[in-house]
Amino acid sequence: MFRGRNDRTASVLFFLVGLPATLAIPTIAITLLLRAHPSGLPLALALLFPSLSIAATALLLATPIGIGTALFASEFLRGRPRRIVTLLLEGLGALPPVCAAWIATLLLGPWWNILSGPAALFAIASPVLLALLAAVFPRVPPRTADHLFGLPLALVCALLLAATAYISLRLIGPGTVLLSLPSLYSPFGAGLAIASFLAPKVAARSLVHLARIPAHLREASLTCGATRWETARRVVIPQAILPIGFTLLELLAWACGETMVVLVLCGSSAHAPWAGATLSSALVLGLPDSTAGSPIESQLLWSALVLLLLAVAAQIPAALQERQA
Amino acid sequence: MRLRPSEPLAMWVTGAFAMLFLASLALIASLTWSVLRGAWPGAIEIAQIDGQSTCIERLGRSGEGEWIRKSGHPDAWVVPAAALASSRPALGHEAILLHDGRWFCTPRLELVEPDRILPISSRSLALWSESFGQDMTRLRQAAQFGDTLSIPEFQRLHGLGMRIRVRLLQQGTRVELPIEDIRLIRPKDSGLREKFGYFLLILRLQISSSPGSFASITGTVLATVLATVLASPLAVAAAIWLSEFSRPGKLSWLFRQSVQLLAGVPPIVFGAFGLAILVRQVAPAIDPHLAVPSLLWASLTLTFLALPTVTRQAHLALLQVPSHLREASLCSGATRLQTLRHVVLPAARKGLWAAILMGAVQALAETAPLLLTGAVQLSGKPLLGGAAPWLHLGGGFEHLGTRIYHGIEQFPPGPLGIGAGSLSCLVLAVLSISLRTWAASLRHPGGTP
Repeated sequence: MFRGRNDRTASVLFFLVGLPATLAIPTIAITLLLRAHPSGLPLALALLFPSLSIAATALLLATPIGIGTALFASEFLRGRPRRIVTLLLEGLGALPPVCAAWIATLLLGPWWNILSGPAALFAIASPVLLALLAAVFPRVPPRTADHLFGLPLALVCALLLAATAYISLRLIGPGTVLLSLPSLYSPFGAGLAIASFLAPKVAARSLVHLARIPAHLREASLTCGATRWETARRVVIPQAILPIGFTLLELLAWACGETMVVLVLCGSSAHAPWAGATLSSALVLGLPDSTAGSPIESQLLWSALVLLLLAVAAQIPAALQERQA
Repeated sequence: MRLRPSEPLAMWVTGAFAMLFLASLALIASLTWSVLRGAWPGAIEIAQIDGQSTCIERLGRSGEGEWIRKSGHPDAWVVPAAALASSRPALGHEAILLHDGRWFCTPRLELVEPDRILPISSRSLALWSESFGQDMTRLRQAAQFGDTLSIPEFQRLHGLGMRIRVRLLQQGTRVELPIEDIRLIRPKDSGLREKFGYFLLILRLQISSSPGSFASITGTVLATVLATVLASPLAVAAAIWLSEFSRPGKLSWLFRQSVQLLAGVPPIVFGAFGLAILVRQVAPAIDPHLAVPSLLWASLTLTFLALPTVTRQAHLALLQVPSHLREASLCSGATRLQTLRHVVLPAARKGLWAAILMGAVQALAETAPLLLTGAVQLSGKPLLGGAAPWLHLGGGFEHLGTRIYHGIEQFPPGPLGIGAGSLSCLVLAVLSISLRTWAASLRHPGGTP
């Protein structure tokens, strides 16, 4: 395969230098496994359910928004607007979790009791309002639709949200929760905060899968007389559903290990000292205080191992599908 | 295109886009608003010490603010100092003092009695005895056991003629001030121009003059840069081997999957690995003095965290180089190494930079592993400067993320605390988001992933 001695030397050199990158996962898994004591497994499994429930809440909230945004950017935007939205989605996905925790606790927290009711009401009423809007304005001008379709609707949504909040506050008074939602310092609150930076991640990764669908499928559908909406629903979504599903599975495992938000909103913190622990919060709160080689340390390491195994298990279906392909 | 009520997909898709758009706007607006509000004099009290300006956060929530406003006596300082300390045990950014041209955040406020230091650090002792002798016994106990004094108790002692000085601590630097030198002024009652002057002063202090902020930014940048510098060569080498030199087979598939699997592992697992293995197992084997969480181990942990991302993205960037370029080069008689150097790497240059940037963003944005491996609330030692080698890797360091986290833990901070925390948050978020967007623009020049 190689023509010269230099090539063989280069190959060996690159292999050796790059070895830590490729062997990192077995190294981490094996060292953790050697240090972990089996008695920690029941504790880790007991902590798995709270972690999974928070991750599932976050994913349930983030998935419709993320996939909807990806579909919008992929199917209805072209040119510069699409480029801007794509870049923004990638950028927003990098919002540090600790920033999300700060925003949720100190900026959203004081308003939560007042605004959560109107916001929930708005979320429920928004499809009806949009349907009314669509009935009043049945045709959107094609150029607007192609380039800046979301912007007028976003402004309308903002106005509707403000109006709903104003009317409910005027009629019933501040501090009143129209629809009873859980406290912000709860697994639901943690899920909501995680969803804030999970949604752009879902959108950015879904966009990658949507972009891989061959253009000729869309063109064939449009040529047959289908609208863009029909094409998206009947052609694009069925094609991308499997890889997007694998991505969601990976993100679920990743969200299980989310730490900073969980620690602040429903771990053991100054705000929520009563809340239960998760795998990640147990690691942060317990591991530094344990001594090296102590039973507590080796038990807690099972939490890290379970998170690692969960992440590996979540990626196996995608890896198998890639191998088959 | 027709938006019909019968088309639920249309409503869902446009609604989703609108919600994300609004949430992004709200995020930036709320952070900026809280930074600006925290610096506005309506939310703080300003006091002068020896002609310098000192800003004390108004204690409206504890009810002491009203007392301060009514009292024109210099001893008024005692009440905010004591109330500040007793209401929030571990002070973060609450009292800000400008002294000798330096700005001190006060993590801890102490009162200095002639021969001993009396920390005022937690809850009050409201029901203490009234006689002086018993008070002195109490003072000794407080000094010995690090106990606390109530505000009425403190006022009574001051009324008995004890010399009391306020001591401010920040990163090992101490400033002592006699309370008689402190004069309270009220910018809230001043004109708009004066208020705006104070606003600019506090904003400038928050941005530039705080040693805490500087240490956090230095720690964040150093940890990120070290991790990126360590991870990039290894990751790029692995990517080059995988895409250019490895033969298709089980070994290369296994290595590729290993990298891919690592990219999906939660960061806290790396933190646990860093503390339990690197700090507690590897470090003692090298040098027992190194076996403490420090910048060195935090950077190594972040290196492990960034490795898979950089490798994966670099591999993708190399795979995107058209194969006909390689074939043309090989057909022209170039070796694989020459092809790599003169054809593949130049063609994949932007993608490789994007991969490195993405690794840097990951190292920058993660806080959880650092809580285990070296980031502390107050390091007490500068990371840069001093004696050779001028970069001190062996101790704890401050990080913007942990600064934000500890700011949240000091609940409930007032507007000034929220302003300072929001500023750290804004800096971290803007850095992460802009670097990630830049990486994405390098990776997808056409806008299509």
